[in-house]
Formats: sequence, C-alpha cells, structure tokens
Amino acid sequence: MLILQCPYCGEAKEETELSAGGQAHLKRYGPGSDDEDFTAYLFHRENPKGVHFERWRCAHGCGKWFHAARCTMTNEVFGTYSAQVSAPPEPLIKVIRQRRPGWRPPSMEGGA
Amino acid sequence: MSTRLAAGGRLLDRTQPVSFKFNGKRLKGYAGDTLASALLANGQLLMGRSFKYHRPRSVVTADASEPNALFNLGKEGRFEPNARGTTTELFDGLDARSQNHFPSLDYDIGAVNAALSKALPAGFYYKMFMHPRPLWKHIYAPFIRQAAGLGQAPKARDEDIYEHYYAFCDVLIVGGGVAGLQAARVAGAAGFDVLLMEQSRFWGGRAPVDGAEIDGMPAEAWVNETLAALDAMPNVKRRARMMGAGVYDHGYVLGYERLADHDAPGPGPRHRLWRIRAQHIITATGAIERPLSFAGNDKPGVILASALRDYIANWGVSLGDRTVIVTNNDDAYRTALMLKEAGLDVPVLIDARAGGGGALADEAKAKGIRVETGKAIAKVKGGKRVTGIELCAQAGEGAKLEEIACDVVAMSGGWSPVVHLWSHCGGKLVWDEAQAMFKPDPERGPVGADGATFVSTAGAASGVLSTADVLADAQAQAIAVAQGLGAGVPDAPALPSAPEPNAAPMEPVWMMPQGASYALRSKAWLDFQNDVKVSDVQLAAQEGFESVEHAKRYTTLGMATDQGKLSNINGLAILARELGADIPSVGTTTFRPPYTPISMGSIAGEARGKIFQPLRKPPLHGWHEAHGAHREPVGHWRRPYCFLREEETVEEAVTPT
Repeated sequence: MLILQCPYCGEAKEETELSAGGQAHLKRYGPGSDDEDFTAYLFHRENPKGVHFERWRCAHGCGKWFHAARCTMTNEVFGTYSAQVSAPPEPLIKVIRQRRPGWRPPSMEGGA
Repeated sequence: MSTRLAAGGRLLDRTQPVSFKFNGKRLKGYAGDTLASALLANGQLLMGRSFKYHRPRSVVTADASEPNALFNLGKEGRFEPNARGTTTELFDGLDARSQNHFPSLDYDIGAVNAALSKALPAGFYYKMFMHPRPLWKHIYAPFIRQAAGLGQAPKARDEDIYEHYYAFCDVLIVGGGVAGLQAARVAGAAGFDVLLMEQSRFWGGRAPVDGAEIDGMPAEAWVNETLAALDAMPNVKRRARMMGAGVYDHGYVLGYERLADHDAPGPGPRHRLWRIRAQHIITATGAIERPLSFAGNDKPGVILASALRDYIANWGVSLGDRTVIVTNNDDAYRTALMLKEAGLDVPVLIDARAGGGGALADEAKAKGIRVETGKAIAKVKGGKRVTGIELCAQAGEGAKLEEIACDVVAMSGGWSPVVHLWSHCGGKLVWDEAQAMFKPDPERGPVGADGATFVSTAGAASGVLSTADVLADAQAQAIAVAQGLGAGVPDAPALPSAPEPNAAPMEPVWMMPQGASYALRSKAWLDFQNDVKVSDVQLAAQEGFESVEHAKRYTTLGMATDQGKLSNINGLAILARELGADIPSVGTTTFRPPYTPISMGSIAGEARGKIFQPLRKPPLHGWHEAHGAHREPVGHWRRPYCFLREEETVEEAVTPT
C-alpha cells in the first residue's frame, strides 16, 4: 500500500485514493506514423526491476494526473512531479543517481 | 491422565467455575482457562485426529502455533471450524466439537490410513491418481474431495458483525512480552504516539512463566509496574487480544482484534480489523520452540517443554504424573525444575548434548533428577497416549538401551524467532550457526518510501533469548527508532537488570537418533498438521524436489492453518542434510500474511448484504417503478430497460413488430 504525495495539492495519498496510469513519458505516435512506432506506443512497456517512472491520478483528491519515480523492487519513492513535462526533471534524476549509483535514465523515446 | 493441580494457575480464577460442552458432553473449567487447558483439566488428552493418517492427537503447544488441537466451535450462524483450542478462551456455554474423524473421536475408521502409511508416501496423490484419465473425474476427485479438508465449512449465514477501523501512530509495537513493554516504555517516554498490541489476553509473554527476575522483582510484578507506567502516558495505547496480522508497504499494518470470541454471543462486533499506518514498526513477537524429530513424537502426551510449563504455571494443569524430558538446550531444564516443584515425577531428563547443560542442569541434578547426556529417544510407546519411551544413544541408530515408563514426553529442539512480520514486506534473514536459527538481518530490512528500514525487531524476535539480552535489545532498538524519527537522544528509562543462569550452548539435533533407521524415520513427524514425516521430506529430495518451495508443495510440509510454525525449520534442515547442502543455502519458504488465520468476516468488515454494493437509483426510480419498468443493471445503477404492457414479456417489449 504505497503512499505518494500529489505535487499539485500537496497531500500524501494512499494507494486506494489514487489510480495508477501506467508508464510515464510515452511519446505518442498517432495517425500517419508507421506501424512499428504505433505498435510500440500502443503496446510495448518497460517492466524494469528497479527505478520506474509512472503516471498516477489523485483520484480521490484534486483529480489531477502527476508523475512518480519509484523503485519496483523495494517500493522506495524517489519523488513525484508535474505531469506537464516529457522527461523527469534534472533534480530528481540527481536524487535517483545518488541513491542508485550506476543507474542510467532510460531514453524517453516512445515505448520500449 | 491429565488433571487439574490442587494449586497454581496464575491466569485462573478458581472462584468462577465455567461450564462448557465438548462433543456434547458437559464439562467444567474456570474463568481464565483456554479450551485446551480446560479439556486437559477434565482428563481429555485426546483432542483430534490427524489429517492424513487419522492418528490420535493432542496439544503440542499452548499458543498460536498449535497444529493439532483444532475444533469446530458453535453452531449454525456462529459455527467456526479449525479454531485452535490453545487460543480459544473458555466461556460459559462454549460448544466445541473435535474434528476430522468418523464416527467418533475414540474410534475413527480413517485410522486405517495409518496402517496403510507405507502405501501413502509423499506425493502419493500425484503418482496414484494419474491413470487412467477418466477415473479422475468420476472416482478419484469425488473421493478425495470427500476425504480432504480440516473441519467443516459453515453452511449458515454468519450472524456476527465485523468492522474495520483506521488508525495512525508513530511507533507500532507488536507483541506485549517484556521486550514489547520495554520498547513501548522507551518510545512512549520519547513522546511518540505508540500503539502496543498483544495477541493473547495477558501481558508479559513467557517471562512470568519462566520465572524471570527483572529489577530484583518477579517478572509478573515488573510487567504490572510497566503496564501502570504505560497507562500513565497519554500518548501510549495498548490493546490485548489483537494480533499483528501482516505488514505491508510503507508502514501499513493489519491488526486483527478479537472482541467477542472470549464470551457468549452479545451485541457489538465480533472482530475488528485495524488498518494502521505507522511511521515505524517494532516487532517484539518472541520465538517459538521447535519439536524434536524422534519416532512417535506425535502421540498424545508428547508436548513442547515450554508449553508444558505454560499449562502448569498459567492454568494449573498437568498432563501426567511421569514426564520424560528430551532436549538439546538448557531451556528445557526449567520444565524439569517446575515439574519437581509441582510434586510431579521426572524419571529422566535426556540431553542429546554429550557435554550436557549449564547452571540449570546442575540445579536439576542437585534436585535429584536423573540426567542422561548424549542420549536420545529411539521411539515413544503407546497408542492413544504415551506409555513409555525407549532410550538410546544420540550418536547411534536407535538400539534400545533401556525402556522407561512415562505418560508425558516434553521436548525442546531449540527456539526459532517469529520473523513473520519482519519478512512480510521483504526483510531478509541470516542463519545463526550457534543457536541454529534464522534471525532477522538488520542490514537488509524492509524499506519504506524514503528508502530506510521501517521495521525493527526487539527481543527474542531478534534472535536473543536470555531475559537480560531481550531487555537490552528492546531498549537499544527502541532508542534507535526514536532517534530515527527525530527525537534526539531520548530520555529513556533505565535498562532493567535481569540475572540469568549460565547456559551451555545448544546443539542442533535435526534427527533423533542421528542415524535413525527408515522404520524410525517414517514415524518421526515434522509437520503434525499435514502428517509429514522425516521420510517424506527425504523422499521428496530423492525425487528431485530440491528447492524448498517445491519440497513444501510436494510433501505439504508447512501448509494449512498453522503454516509450519513448528515444522518449517526442522523440515528444511532435513532437506538440507539430504541434499548435502548447508541450511542457509537451502533457505526458507516465503512468509506471507496473515500470521494466523483471520476471519473472512473481518476482511469484509461492514461491506456485506445491502451495503456490499449499495444500489444506486436515478431520480425517476419511483416513477419507473410505478409504470412497470423492467430494470437492467448498469454498473451500480438500475436503469429501465423497457416498460412492460400487460401480458407482455421483456422479449416481446423490445422486439419490433
């Protein structure tokens, strides 16, 4: 039962008060893109053992979507941040690098 | 015959007799009894039949780890199967029945399985019922379904009510023994909101039974003083009859409070499920004594040495007049001394260690108890109760040296810390060679949102066993927790002192005698509840089930309602020996919540019947109703699907004509 802090309303919310929205920072390939890109966008998702960026919605709070960086192995939460960005902010990357030496941010291109 | 002693029983109120029913027979006990202690007091040693071979069984423990003494309680809307007699408190009108036998407890037809035990080894079902295939559906499966299962499933609707409760605290302490009490005292003095819970109705754990002395007073007096000190702190709350059922991510804990199980049905909820968020959790859950694996160790009258002390000290009950004690550590000498003090006979104390014991052993010898070192029990004699044992050398193969008549055997195979709550959320274990136990590895605990460990263990749960060490560990852990939560150096109460007799180191004994023949091994039980023997685990290893998780599923070792609280470590030690591996590399099976079974009703809480899923009605519901709407379910809503004219079916109404 995770607790995440919504970066918009500032409330620490329990998992049951949030709804999960899957992997964050997907680049959308819409009409006109080639089949491979579209398939990857639609279906291919990371399933890392370790640092993962996710979308969450403050469903029983302010109702806004936000992003969270979490370790899938230990459920350590590195931080939550605005959904209005296409990549994790630099200070958060620094925090993760500090706590997980050797970790490299994934390329934020499309799905897998 | 088991019987009530003339005096003693610190939990009993002998001025308050209680009447209850067992298998339709009316019996008497006292307020403060458990069902198990009251049955023993009435001479009812036989309490149930085993799962597979239908062997006669009695209690082996006095607490939540009990595998044998399971009962059907109550009837109809208040029927409950598989209730442990050791944790069921006695009340006026309690109606208990033994289970897993036909036609009666004394004469059970299923016991024929015991005679066929050679034909029913581990994995029997997987081997036997494969071919021919059509037989599975029509003969095997219905037959197995008929025979399988402990107890009976309730048929009527549950008449009791249940509730959920939400709580928040800084420090949650699970376990109300001396370690938990000391930890609560420290955390409370540091100003934190503390919630302390204890699964039984009494506080202090084992210390008062084992005659510990703390700060120069008997443990019971120290416990009462500490409870008074805790009650004087407004920031400390304590709840008895509440078990820490499970630890989940980010400090989420389930507490299972049994509100009404100890009394006749009345108003109010029966169970309350606490959903707690804690900043930090301290598990002071103590340790469980392990049985020893010798032939016939499941017979009624064979009991854990610590449990025998519980029955004498807590409930003034003796299981028999002549008790043989068998041990590989110093703790069981306490049982010998207590028996002597109660005026009961100890014909021999068998110590598997060639070197014998420490200060307690000297005391026992001084009291005139015959102590045999380097010896073992070859087999236990008797059918529905112990009648004697055969003595042999531990180093040998079980050749009889002497036959000794007795009606009780008290065994002690060392202690295993209760690491369940530590492990639920990913806490790792480390093998302690000297004490032959898995204990929590403080370096690799379960981590919370901030990446720091959010569970600590205190006392025997950390793997320390003497009273002084338990208190010191609890004190140190609680101070560390308080500092971690930002209290600075807390103004902790002084560490209580506790003298402890010098103990000789324990020696692991996984099989007794160490070279036991097949005939002996196939009568040496590891898991009492599922009828798994030493020979079954060895067979599983031979057949290639090398992973402990595979061996568990193949043999059913450590399954069912007790989840292997007594059997796991013994079983995996046998597996490791068979594989030629060391115990830590074989590892344990996964500990999963809840610690002991909790009621389905408490999980559902208030969400049942009409409010399980409240029906939502549109504003025009009444109008629809009045005009003959046929409603269809749309999620939580009921919306009109069609309006029926007279003499019209739904199908006709929606079919264009």
